[in-house]
Amino acid sequence: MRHVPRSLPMILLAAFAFLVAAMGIPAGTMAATEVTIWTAFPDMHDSVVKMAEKYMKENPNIKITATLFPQRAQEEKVAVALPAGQAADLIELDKFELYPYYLNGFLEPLPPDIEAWVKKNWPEYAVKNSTANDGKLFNFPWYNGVKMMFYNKDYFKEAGITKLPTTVDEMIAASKKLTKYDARGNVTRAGLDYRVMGGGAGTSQKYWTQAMIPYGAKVIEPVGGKWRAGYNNEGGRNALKMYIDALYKDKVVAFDHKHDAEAFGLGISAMFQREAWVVGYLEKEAPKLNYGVFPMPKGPGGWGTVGNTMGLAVSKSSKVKKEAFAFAKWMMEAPQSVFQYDYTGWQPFPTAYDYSSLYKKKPALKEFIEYSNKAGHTVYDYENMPAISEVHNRMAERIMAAFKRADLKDNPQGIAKVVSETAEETNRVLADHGMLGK
Amino acid sequence: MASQGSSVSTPPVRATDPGAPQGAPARRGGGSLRALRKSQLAFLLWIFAPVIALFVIIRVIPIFVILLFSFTNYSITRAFWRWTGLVNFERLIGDNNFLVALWNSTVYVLVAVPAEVLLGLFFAVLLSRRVRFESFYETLYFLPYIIPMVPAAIIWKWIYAPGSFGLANHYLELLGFGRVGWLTNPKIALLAVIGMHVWKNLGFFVIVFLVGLKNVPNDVKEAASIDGASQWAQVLRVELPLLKPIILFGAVMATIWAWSAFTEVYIMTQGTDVSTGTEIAVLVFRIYQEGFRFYNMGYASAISFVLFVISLLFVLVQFWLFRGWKEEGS
Repeated sequence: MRHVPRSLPMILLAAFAFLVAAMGIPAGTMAATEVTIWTAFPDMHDSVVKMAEKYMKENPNIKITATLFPQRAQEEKVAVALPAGQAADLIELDKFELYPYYLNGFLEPLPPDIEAWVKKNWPEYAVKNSTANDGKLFNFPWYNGVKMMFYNKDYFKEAGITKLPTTVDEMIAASKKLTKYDARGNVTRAGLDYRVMGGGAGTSQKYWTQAMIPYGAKVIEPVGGKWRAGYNNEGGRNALKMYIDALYKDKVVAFDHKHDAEAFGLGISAMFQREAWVVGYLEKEAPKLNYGVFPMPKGPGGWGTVGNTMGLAVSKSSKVKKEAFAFAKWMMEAPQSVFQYDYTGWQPFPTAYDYSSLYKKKPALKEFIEYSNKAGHTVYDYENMPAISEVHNRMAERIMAAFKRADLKDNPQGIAKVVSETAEETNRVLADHGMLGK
Repeated sequence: MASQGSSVSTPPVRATDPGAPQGAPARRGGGSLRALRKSQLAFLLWIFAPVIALFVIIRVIPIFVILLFSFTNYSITRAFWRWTGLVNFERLIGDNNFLVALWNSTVYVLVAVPAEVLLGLFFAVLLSRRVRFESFYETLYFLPYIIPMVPAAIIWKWIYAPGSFGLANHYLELLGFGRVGWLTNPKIALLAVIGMHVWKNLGFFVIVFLVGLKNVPNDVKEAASIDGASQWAQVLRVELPLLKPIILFGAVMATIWAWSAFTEVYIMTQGTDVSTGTEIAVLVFRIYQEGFRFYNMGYASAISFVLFVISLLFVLVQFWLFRGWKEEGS
């Protein structure tokens, strides 16, 4: 065997270590100040990219780098990267997802001047919902996920429904007239496309909007400075009954057909509830669809909808906080907000901006703005409480399992048991976080 | 040199190693570490040290870290955490979500492993019979295996889509059958996902078993044929017993893959036209949920450790079941 120099292994090891270290040298260290932003929705990402191009032209010393991670992937990415100080400068997430990070010191609150600007231009409820317990705004309330009912005007006319439903009972009655079936009894057109599966907290959010609010049930309610499950009551039982009846009694919706915006665009559902982004989606995917929107109907327990805040927050570890705040604020000024609403359909918070240029081509967008501020109509948001995401996700799992149970039809005891056990789990989660009120 | 007429063969004499002491016996190929010089040994250690270090850091240490976390209330979103003892493990016993996931994972293993091994053997035996276009079939079987799991799961999500939009239901209705809630019917959703998993991995087992079958010595097969064994008897009594080590390898791999199934379950619970999740949730999916949806890393670590122990036990049982075999005809 040839003699191997003793230094060879050391040389090889040193070369290996150098290669590994070299990969860590950031590229473009001599470039303009870079502000990174992680976005969570494809349409918002596209609008951010377009806005960033304009901003960079006006501010040549700033470089904006936007990266899209689809919503759930964004949540996971942030969960790992933010505590490690490796997240982007700006992060888009649901406000209730951002709040625990703020509590643990991973996010920077808005500086006083920007906070004052937000308080001046945003509705009071939006400011309140993004204010932490220390009185500071912990994120920009960027855009609003207010839910309204989308309806197919042609199907309504065909069914002879001339008046839009204003109460839950009217909506249920209309849904029965609008449903179509094939020869085998399969639902071919859902009269009301209830959200019965998919997406965890998304399902519980739609359930909260569609059924719990009108029947007066709350997901959690304040008790002595803490919280308890607020749906282990008649309102909660009526909410579950509404869905069970829709699936197994009235049969206005089923599991084995398409759902959501895609189904509505394809004409296989007559009504469904969603946010304003559907307007932009339908413009692209179903431009000939003759549709309208109406507010969530009133129920015996209340009138309102869920308008979750999508927030934009600055990482505590960001080295360009000033530039990040400046870009975020610029994106939420009037011209950019109007552009965003037009381009994506996601509803900006400032209702005082002039969106009238959009209403002629997209009249539905006007309804969303109007009902965000209507007297007597409450827009609910997630509570600023660390456990709220887990509460909703776990509730979603249980109610989705309950939706699969045909035995709950005309079974008040069964429904009461499901609601009670679900509420027990909600309370357990609250207790785990030290937030359960007695 | 072997003595003439002797029935015992002796190994050929080789020139002694230049570095070995005079008169020392010749080294056999693949000699022990002791026979290496210290400098050669040091060189080997230096060369392998980075790889071993990476293996220990990436594979071994995390197991102990997870075990440590499983005794704490560690959460990603909390700056501080504390020791909680066996609280996480006690919670597992009463956690219906965990128990359902454990049951689903067990069903997954008990269905997927025999399906993959038996179907793999079946197709490998067929292909080992000198069929026409053998390479084409081998490629066809192996193709699903090389497709990444994410696009494969997305394709199957479309195949299983509800109503008439899914390819499977579309053809069922064309043939006059009713629609099937592939991912929405709690009774079949898990089997539908397992079916996809088996389809994806089958090619690997076909190829591995086929290679094994082709390496069965011809003289053994000829001897069986001369003795009057039929084709199937030859397969069952000669080829498969010789294939036992490879079958064991296949079974172990199938078991590990089945216990660690996640991507297909994750993909098939995303969206509004898919499974609600509970009926197809497996243990790794629960670990992901607890760790990255609810940020309960301590609890997720407890589930991880339980999964590690259970899958290790399964593999050990397989080794025990295959123990004591001897290669026939050697």
